[in-house]
Amino acid sequence: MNKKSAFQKIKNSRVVRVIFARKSVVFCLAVLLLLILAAIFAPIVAPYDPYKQDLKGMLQGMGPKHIFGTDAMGRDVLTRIIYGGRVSFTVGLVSVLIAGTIGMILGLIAGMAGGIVDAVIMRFMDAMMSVPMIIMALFLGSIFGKGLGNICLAIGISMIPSYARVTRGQVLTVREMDYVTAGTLCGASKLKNTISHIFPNCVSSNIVLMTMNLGNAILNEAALSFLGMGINPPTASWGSMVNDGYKYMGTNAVIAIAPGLFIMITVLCFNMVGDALRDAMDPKLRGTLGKKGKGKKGKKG
Amino acid sequence: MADKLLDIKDLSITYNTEIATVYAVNGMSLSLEYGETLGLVGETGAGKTTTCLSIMRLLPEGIGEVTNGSIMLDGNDMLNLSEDKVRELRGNIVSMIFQDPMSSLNPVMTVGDQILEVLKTHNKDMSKADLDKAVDNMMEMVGIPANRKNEYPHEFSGGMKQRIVIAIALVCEPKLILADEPTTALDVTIQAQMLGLINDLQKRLNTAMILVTHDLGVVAQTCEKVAVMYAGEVIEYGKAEHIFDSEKLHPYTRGLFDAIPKLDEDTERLVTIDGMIPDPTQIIEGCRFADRCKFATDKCKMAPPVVEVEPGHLIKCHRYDK
Amino acid sequence: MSNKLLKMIGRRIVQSIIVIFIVTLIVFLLNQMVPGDPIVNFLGSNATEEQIAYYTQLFGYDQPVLVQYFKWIQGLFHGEMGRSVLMQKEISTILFQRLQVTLSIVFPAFILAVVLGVVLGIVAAKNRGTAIDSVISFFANIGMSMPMFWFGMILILIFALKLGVLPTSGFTAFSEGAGEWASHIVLPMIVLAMGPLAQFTRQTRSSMLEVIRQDYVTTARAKGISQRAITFKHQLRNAFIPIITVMGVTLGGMIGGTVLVESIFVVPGLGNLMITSIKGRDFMVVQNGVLVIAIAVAICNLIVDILYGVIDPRIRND
Repeated sequence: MNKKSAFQKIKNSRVVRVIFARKSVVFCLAVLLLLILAAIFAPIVAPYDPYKQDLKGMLQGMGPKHIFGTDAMGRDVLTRIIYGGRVSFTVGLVSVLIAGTIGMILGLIAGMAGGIVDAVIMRFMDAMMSVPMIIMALFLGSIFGKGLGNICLAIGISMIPSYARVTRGQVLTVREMDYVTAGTLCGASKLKNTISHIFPNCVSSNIVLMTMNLGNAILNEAALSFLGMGINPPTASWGSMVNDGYKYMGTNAVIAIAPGLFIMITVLCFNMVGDALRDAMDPKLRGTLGKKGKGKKGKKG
Repeated sequence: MADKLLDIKDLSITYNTEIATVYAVNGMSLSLEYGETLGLVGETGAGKTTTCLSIMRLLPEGIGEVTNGSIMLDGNDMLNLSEDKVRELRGNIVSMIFQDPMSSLNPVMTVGDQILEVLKTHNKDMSKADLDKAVDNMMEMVGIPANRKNEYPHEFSGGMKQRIVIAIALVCEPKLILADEPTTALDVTIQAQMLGLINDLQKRLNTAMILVTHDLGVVAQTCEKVAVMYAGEVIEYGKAEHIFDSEKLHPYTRGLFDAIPKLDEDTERLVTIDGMIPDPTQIIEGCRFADRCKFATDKCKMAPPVVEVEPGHLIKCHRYDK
Repeated sequence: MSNKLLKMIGRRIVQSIIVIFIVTLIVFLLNQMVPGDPIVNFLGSNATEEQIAYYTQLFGYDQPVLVQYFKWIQGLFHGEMGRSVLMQKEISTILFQRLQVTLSIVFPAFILAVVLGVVLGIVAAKNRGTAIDSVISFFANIGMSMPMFWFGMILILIFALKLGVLPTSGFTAFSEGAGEWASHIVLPMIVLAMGPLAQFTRQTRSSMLEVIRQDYVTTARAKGISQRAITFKHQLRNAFIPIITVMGVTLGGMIGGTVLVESIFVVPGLGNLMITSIKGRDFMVVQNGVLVIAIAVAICNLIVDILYGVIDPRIRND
């Protein structure tokens, strides 16, 4: 027991070390933390009320009172961006969790059962994948309707296939590994083997995929909201803010550009963290990353 | 024609990585006559592969660096030639057989094309028909039917792939082959076959060879000369019979022989040389083997001299210094 | 050799047909779950009961679900897709027109993304660790993270509103003049190509770096061949294998991306059609539109698989 936790520590520390060795990633993590905290504590942080209309002060440009100006209803754009973060982060996290959980379960079933079950599940996944994700999400959105929970569900479901594929691939690889065979030889049942060996392996690769997909989920939410099929109007969402501001592009571009900038920064940061996490977990790159790593020594005879 | 095919003098090579500088080869000297076979022996990390790569000027760019010494190959000053000139020599005058046939062939090119490529590069005026015939001949010489030349590497077994690697190395009839542990990655049963093949072809084409290995048995079978490397330098050099029969040996070479398990003796444990090779990131002033040597004295803190214990048999050790 | 390749292609075609069949099932079932009624939606809230009943019967929405499904599939084999409630036109005609428009943006964008992405990726890999590499990698990261609609908007702001050199929106067919056509598709094309371009750059860079470390590249260098030959014959061909995988995924994504691009630039393509039909509950159009898109994606994947087989001899065997 003791041994295992020590091993776990080393493993964790390696991942952490590799991630923190990249200055850009540390910076991204800091930015994300800042944005998330701002979203959580929006009522305290935000300078104004996100719903308070002020028809006299509408469509103001950038200025000291309203850093990013005001929208067509006179609402403060910065305030709405801070509140909009709530939607983006919630949708990102929840939809990825939905996709990851369902996808992993399907992948595990397909990989473990094999045969007909495997074929049926995976052909379904193929079929879902041959419909572009955004169209799938739009389609599902039209079934579930608007609103935060429904958007999460629509985006989450549209992302399931990649998780199912990755998990199934993992199961098939891990199942052939010597240590799993050893477990079977020692009399471990199929189920026990799955739980003790295959499951943890799949979880780690799925977490990497989830981190890398967070940005995509946020982009999809923004796209749905931009198309008017996302979050219901009075609620602030970055995508719908861009859509609202689009009409005033010629005169007051900042109200559309600012929320888009926040989408980009958030997605960029998530992507960078995802990349770092993937590299850190990749055993092929072991020893070539991180400052304390051994590094390449070149070939010697 | 130069009087020696290969003459390495005082060669030093370092690998510069972000983390540390590795002193891979430290003042090594070695020479080779035309048509001669030399066994380059030593444990992993002794600098054998590095030496071979430096002869071909193939050290990893930006990482491996020759800091001192010279390499003369067939009258060419290898370290000061232009890249174009070196390219003319590579594969033509000197070629290399790599350790792992599984990964040293391009997976998306037919084996015939891979052999043809090197031949065509160095024989620009040969006609297409002649080139094809030469490739076919070469394939037959290494024991692969020429009609398989349109197949891809994955369609061959490990031993077959190594035959193709050998064909690539020999097709231009080079003056020197660097065989870097050509049998390590193969089954024991195929190893002998492969060595026989290399040896046979080498005799037929009158090519010199440096055979890198850590298997003294292989050296005894195939080599005329032997050089033993330790921590980046040659510590013993001589004819094979010197090394295998002489009483006077470098303590390290002696240790290597003792470490060979003997079939006729009943031993509980295998004999090993105590200790490890010194940390290659450190510069060592005296004898690099002193730490592990049974005969080490205070003198060993100074650089050991090269002593000729019998004609042509050189040992770098204080023990044989008069 | 080519025999193996043909067998592989045959296998993949059968698989694609099965997948397309499942797509029809999924789309149809999902459509049944969509709330709302296209007829009511079309006629408006003050339509009479009889009117609704008449049109429902006319469009076949009154029949049992299974019958509707089989009728749809049966029609497909005859090249009939039914009529659009919203547009009062044959769906197959609409889809065909729209598909042409969409493809005339997707293909140039795809080619732009692949060519430029691969070149930039090679440049970055060759100059690894230098400022050039950092700049390329930085922009690739940005390109992956930009919301497409936002990028399009900024381009419109710069080129159409501020500089006034390009039209803000709309589409002109190629047959009505190449210059007009080009000026209308250049912005949509750039927007659509941005994300994939970034992806190709990143993938090319990383697979070139992966390949540089391979033993067979050392073998190639030991042969004395030129650096050009090493790059093109040995590195690039091997590096292309993972790039092709990205191509398959990307093409599908680009067809999806047209939904956004076409709505910003008001291009009358398939993507735009999908939005109006989904919003307008024009079930048959959605159903057939998704099917057409899925078939397009399947064809793209098939081409990618064939390319795979051509480039990587190892694939042909299993």
